[in-house]
Amino acid sequence: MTAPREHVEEISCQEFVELVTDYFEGALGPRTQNRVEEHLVMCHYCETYAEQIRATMRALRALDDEPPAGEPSPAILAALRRRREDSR
Amino acid sequence: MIAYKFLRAGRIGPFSGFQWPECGVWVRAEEGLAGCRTGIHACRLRDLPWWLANELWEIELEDDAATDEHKLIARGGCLRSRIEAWTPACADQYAKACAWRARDHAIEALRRHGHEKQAARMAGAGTLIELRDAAGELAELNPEARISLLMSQDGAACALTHAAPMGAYVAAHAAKRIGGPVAYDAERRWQSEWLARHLGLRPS
Repeated sequence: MTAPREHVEEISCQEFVELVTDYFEGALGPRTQNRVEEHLVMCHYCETYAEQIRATMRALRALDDEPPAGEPSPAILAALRRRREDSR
Repeated sequence: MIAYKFLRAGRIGPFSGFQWPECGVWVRAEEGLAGCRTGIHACRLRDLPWWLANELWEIELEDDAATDEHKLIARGGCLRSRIEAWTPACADQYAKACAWRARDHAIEALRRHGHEKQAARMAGAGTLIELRDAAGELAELNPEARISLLMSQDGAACALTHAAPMGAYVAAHAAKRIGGPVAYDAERRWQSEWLARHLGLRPS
């Protein structure tokens, strides 16, 4: 039997999961990127997973744009104090 | 140079998210493919099984296209026409063809281990459901051919659930299990020839 040639190599779903963040960040080399994309065409499970990761990354990036929350309002602080007192 | 390109519905690049313009409008890699780091990607006939998607288009590439393992990479390209024969029904036909090929590889595995009667049962399956069920049952009885039978079962399941790309993948690996990388290559070649024949495609 001929020794396995490089082009028969494919990534598994587990390997895909390990690579997906780097894929979205453009941090993979061209060869590995090819493997990831070939896997995405073929595997609906990983395609769904990748969409979820992409959505999560998008949501996290959007959070960066939100200004930090200021001090809680006096009314909220008072309510929290009351609750703490009640629970004692 | 004429090649082929699979896109998502609406002429959307599956990985770049780039929406291709109307036919005849040239796109150059440096001009707007933010998601694509290396250029315009397209298929030779032999590359088609790796990149199936909703729409198939004929694309003209700039003549300096580089060849990669499973694709062409050019600096520019323009869509010429959609291959209308590539429809969900055609994809289903292709998935079925791949399922029967995976079945043939399972039959070969059974015969190699002297299970003629069980090979005949696989050969006698008349529908994908019969094939899926027979392969599943026989897999439990034949440790030597178990993986090939499970691959056949998976191939039938893919065809039943309209999962053509995975069905083709399964058939190629079913072939590899029987005949090694050479058989894998031959199976992928068979798949690209099937697509070219049924879609009326010409070599790049």
